Amino acid sequence: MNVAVSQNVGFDGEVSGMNLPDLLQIKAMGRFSGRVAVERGGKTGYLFFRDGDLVHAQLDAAEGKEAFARILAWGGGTFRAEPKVGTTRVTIHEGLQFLLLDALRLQDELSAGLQNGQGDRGAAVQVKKEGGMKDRLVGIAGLQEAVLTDRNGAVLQAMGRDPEGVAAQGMYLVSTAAKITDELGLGSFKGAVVQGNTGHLVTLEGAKNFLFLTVQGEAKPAVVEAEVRRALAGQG
Amino acid sequence: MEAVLRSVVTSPGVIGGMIADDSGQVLVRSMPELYDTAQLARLGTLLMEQGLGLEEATGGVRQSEIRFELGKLITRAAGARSLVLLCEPGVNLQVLSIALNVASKKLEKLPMTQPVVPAAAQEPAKPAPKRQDDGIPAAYRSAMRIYR
Repeated sequence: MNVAVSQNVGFDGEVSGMNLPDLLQIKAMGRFSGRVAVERGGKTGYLFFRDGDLVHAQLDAAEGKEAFARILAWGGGTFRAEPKVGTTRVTIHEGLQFLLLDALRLQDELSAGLQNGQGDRGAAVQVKKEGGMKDRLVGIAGLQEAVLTDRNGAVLQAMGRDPEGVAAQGMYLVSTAAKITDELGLGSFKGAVVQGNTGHLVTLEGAKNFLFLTVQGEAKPAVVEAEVRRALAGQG
Repeated sequence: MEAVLRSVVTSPGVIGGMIADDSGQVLVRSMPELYDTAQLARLGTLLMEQGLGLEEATGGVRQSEIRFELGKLITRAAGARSLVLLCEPGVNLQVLSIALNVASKKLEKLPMTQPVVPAAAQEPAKPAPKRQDDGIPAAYRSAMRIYR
């Protein structure tokens, strides 16, 4: 990362009790130059401003709009404004408002898809008892983590070490699926299975929730998904 | 490459397909005509970005299956290229997996070719919006509670 420290006037420190879009808009209106560091679940994303314009975002190896979308999809975190940290990188060319509205549009599309799909209970995830998810899922072979979130990705129940991280990955997949159906007209999102070399990610869609599962690399995600559905339906 | 794609899009339950390179550019297409090349180019980009976004969590995406109300989108990595299939919601994945295994092996052995969609056609059709410092309606802003 190409980062420079300059002598800007202003405060730096941590902000809490405010959502990220609001904070970013305040920074834009104040013609902020510097870096906003967002921390969540042991990860840190960076948003760089120059004279109030968001010019660069970085999260691990991801940059630009992709990094911005992933940071937004975290659904929460700790923010730290660092006015003395700048960058020469420019990976974002859209205005902040456009990026935020685009995120809102995705939220609206997801909500619309939800309403259309509410009658499709056969394919939906149904957790019958609020407190019972962990008890029902523990012991399923190959299942590493299970995270139940609301439609915005806020964690409601979790089993595993990094629920926020799993929720962020899952919501990133959900947002990509929303863009795909926007292009292809395939209707509402119903779930996804992503098979990787070292692990798998399964997303199940319910009327009001998402259930995100991480599965060990050597396990078959379809088998784990079937076991989870059976357990949550109370048949296992 | 067309023959490889044809061998898999003729499987039961498959509506159409395409092959994209590792930058998301469409190399070969056999999708329904209702999808224009720009739409498929954007699809290729989205799938490429999805693979990058989930790389750390999965150790590299081998296959993804995204389920929608009206269809399934299946993407199988094949070396530096990807096979993308649009399928009916009830497609038999076990049967399709056999065809995908064969096709992806063949695809890995084929030399790289130029994309069928020119780079300029892969750009979004709409112009980049101008920067603004405000403009989100207050109701939208208050509704946008992505962050708690």
